[in-house]
Amino acid sequence: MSDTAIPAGPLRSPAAAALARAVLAAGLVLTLAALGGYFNPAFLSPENGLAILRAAAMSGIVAMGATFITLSGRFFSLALGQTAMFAGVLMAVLMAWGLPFGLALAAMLAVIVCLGAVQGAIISMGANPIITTLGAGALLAGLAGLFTGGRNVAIDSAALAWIGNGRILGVPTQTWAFVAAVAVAWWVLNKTRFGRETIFLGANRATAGASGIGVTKVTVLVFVIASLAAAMMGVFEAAQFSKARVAGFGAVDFDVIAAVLIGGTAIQGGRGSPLRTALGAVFIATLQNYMLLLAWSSGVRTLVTGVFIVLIVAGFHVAARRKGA
Amino acid sequence: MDILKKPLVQRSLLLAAVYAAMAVTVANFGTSGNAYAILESSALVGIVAAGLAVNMMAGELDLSVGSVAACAGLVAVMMSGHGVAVAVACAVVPAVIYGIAQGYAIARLQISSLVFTLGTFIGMRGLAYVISDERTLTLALSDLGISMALRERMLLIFSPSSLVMVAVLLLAGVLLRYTRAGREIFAIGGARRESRAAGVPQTRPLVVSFAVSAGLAALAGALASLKGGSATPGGYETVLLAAVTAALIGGVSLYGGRGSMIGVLIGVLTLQVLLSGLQLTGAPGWAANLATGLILLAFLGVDLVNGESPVAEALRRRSIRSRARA
Repeated sequence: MSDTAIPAGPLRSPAAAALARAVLAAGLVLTLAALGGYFNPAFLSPENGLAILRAAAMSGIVAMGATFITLSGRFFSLALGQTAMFAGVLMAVLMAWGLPFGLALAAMLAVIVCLGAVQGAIISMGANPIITTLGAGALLAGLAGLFTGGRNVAIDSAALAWIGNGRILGVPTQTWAFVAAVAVAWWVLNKTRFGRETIFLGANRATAGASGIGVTKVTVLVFVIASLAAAMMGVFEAAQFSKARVAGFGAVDFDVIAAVLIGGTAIQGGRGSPLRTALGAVFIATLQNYMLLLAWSSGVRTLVTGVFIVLIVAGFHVAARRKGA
Repeated sequence: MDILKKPLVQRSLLLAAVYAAMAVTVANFGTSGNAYAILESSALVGIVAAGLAVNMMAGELDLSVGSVAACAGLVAVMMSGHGVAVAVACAVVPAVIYGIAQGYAIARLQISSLVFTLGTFIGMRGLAYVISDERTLTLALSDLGISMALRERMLLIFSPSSLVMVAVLLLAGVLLRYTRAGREIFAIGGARRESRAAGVPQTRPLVVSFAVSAGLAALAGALASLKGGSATPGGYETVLLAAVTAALIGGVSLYGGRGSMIGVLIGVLTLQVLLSGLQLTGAPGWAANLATGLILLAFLGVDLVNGESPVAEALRRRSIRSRARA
């Protein structure tokens, strides 16, 4: 919309600054944990710790994908919750038709890749990403209704039940998947050509385009990655309850956006990292869990999350401008 | 045939064509009773779209309108014992103050409104749950007359709430066209840098546009909740989608500087005629989602070609080049 100029990065050692910010975020999580444990001993139990990590894992996996969108300078997708829902439903419907799990999963992923690619292509032509994904989300909700008639679809598969509820070394599968997603996202962004191009595109779209980076290619790919991450969450959700739900994914987009922004990934793109998003997701999950233990209502929890986002975004924005000036 | 090239004429023809198609294919569609129902259901989206259109003309977008409408609906239902005017005022005045604060913050921070309002979109939704204590509020039995009065049929196809929508759109259209603040909104939306160079103040039009979008969202939410007799904290989640779709159909550009309130009215009616037709054929609830999503994406494409978008610029450059060669 309004094209705010992207300030030049700090001249003195960006690596040190990034490290400082990561330490700050980790410190925030630790302080919160210590405070929580002081006021409520149940908060620091290992079981609660695993519960927090499991909660963080679900939105955290999607947030890994969303980090790519934000880094590339395309703000956010408001279709990720619906993509997760649609992925679960599509897989369940395919399995209900008699397809084996592997085949249903592959077919579903193929469809999700196409959906992400189409959104990315529209947005790379200059369409507003928020509105495009808002429309795509409504479309997906409608399609899910078309396939299911608005009813949840039961899934009967031992493999899927294990994916949803299994534990490896006492840690839930979702948490392992989250850790793997963070590692892959970090590797792609830091060690591959595509990753560097994504960050370059976010830092300065005009320069990136002029220096021969395929703006369309990168934009399409970041939306494909985000859609795949959402699909992964959809599979885990469906697996956990052995049924694909057609509703209840409304808060996913909020949590994902909160995780990315609180992790400190610059909203204008070009600065940020999946590690910080992961910390953001854990922070949000910790905050939510703590407020839950205090028996605060979901309204208060949503309000606090929203206030946090506004403050943190405005804070990062002002800090970035100071440095640029 | 030049008259056919005017965007407003084209969009009116689209509305007429959609209406005619529905009237022919769907039984009982072309009655005055159904026209009343369509206008009645347009009121909510129409008033929200009017505010959002002002925002879009300034080149910004207020994502928090649905959450603000939900808060306003709750407040209006709580205050309904004091009469409609007081209830609506109690809902709208705080929303306008909120809009002014939001616009001022966005202007001074020079932050993208998409980002800022994403936070308030979540925060205001939380506030709605807090002020309602997570319950659905209903009008007291003694106040149900308000609900009846707002939907009372008058002038053949109108009701007080749809008349409010028409009045809001007309007033907004006149103010945009003939006041200084209105022209400033178009100026900063059409060409932010050039307008700044020409000495147009940057803060005031932004503050005005966000005050209008929040105030009208609150008005719409308050009226719709009073009319429906109840307000839920999770309500009006889809109104942003519908309002943006309506504004896009009406030719308001997401790239700013372009659009008119008559266009918004045409857009809202086109969308509601379609949705009402779907409803009358007995299509299930998800069909409305599907249709709105499809229409939104289609008109995003139209906006890409018509508005001040990169695609439109590339097309213009190409046509200039081909003309130069000829």
